Amino acid sequence: MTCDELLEVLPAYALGVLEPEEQAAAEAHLAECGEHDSELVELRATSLALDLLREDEPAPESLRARVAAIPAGHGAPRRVGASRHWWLAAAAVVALLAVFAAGWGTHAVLDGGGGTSGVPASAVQYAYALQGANGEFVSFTGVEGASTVTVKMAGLSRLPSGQLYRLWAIRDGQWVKIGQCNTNAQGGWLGDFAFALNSGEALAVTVESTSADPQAPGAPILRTQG
Amino acid sequence: MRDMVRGPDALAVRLRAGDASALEELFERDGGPAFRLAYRVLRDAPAAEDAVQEAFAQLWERAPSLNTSGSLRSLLMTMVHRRALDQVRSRRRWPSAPVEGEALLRIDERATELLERVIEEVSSEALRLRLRGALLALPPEQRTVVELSHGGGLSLPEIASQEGVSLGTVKSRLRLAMQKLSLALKDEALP
Repeated sequence: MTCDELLEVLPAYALGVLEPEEQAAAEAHLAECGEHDSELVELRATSLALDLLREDEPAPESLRARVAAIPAGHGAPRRVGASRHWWLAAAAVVALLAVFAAGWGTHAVLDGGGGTSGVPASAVQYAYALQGANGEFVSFTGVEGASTVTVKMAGLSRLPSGQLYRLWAIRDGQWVKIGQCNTNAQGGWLGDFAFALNSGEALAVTVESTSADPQAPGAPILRTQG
Repeated sequence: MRDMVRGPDALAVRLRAGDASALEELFERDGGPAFRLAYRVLRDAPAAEDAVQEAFAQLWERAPSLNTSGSLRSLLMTMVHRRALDQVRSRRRWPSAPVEGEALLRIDERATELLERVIEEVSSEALRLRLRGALLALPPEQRTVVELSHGGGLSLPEIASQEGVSLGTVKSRLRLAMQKLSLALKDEALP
């Protein structure tokens, strides 16, 4: 990548929206060339400033519970570093195997008791997981009654441009869209969707074209049994 | 344009007095931007939640000695930024943990003081209004690209597909838009 080519993509790099190959090329150039540091600082500052403008988008509901617990002394930061969400994923798999003895197309409630670190005892946490035969894994975690659900995906190939993964809750026989996303080059994704998941609802994942009807599900690649 | 002479922040006064409901109100007001700021640095939602929770916990611990005439929002955002950078440093000690955007993280660490000045300035109402004005003044096609990439998290090819234009056009629109927004910020907050 030349300096001119880098300047073309530097704003996208600063926002973190480059495709993995271009991101790697930009990284390689920036590691060798210090000519762009001042521009990158400006773009980074602008990017952070834009984040502070988005006041109307609330923080995840799970975070609200953790902050609310601080004055009561239950909000000590969870110092488990990078392994925390992997622990959750691993726990989901263990529970799946223990309850159903076979992985594909099923889900399990992992923790219906609430009261884990940083969450008030009155808040009931849930965690559901879907697992495919080839290592595909999707978990849905959050707090009962909250308006957001945290979704973690692993082992799902990044889809080509024009396609997205769409996540569904099956509510009284109706497919209701939770959200849509694409995985990164490593097959993972982690984020929140504004969606109130009810206990007992079936879950599914489909692959859709971006031009497809957003309310009409295609054939699921993962879903709960039954 | 900086904030004019200001009186004590009511939330800061209540926090200093140990009013726990003030912490919840602060989260209602600033929790969203605080989370997005941490997420921008860490690109990992659970880690960003940890950083924000740590900042709120630290703020609560320090509440009895809070300076009520300063900007509470600015103090909180600076704490969030520092906690996020702490996590970046901590991640580097885990060889298996992914560290994305190495050059960005280098910039975050090298230019911490400057970025925190921007965070402080943007925490003022006047500069937020100015930046929001600059965003609204962008041509619609440029504003759309900023909103879809920055807020929507779509990749550039996904935006090109959605908008029905070439990838080069999307890159060009984003570059022009970010240049204008950087200029608006530079007039006030950047050297």
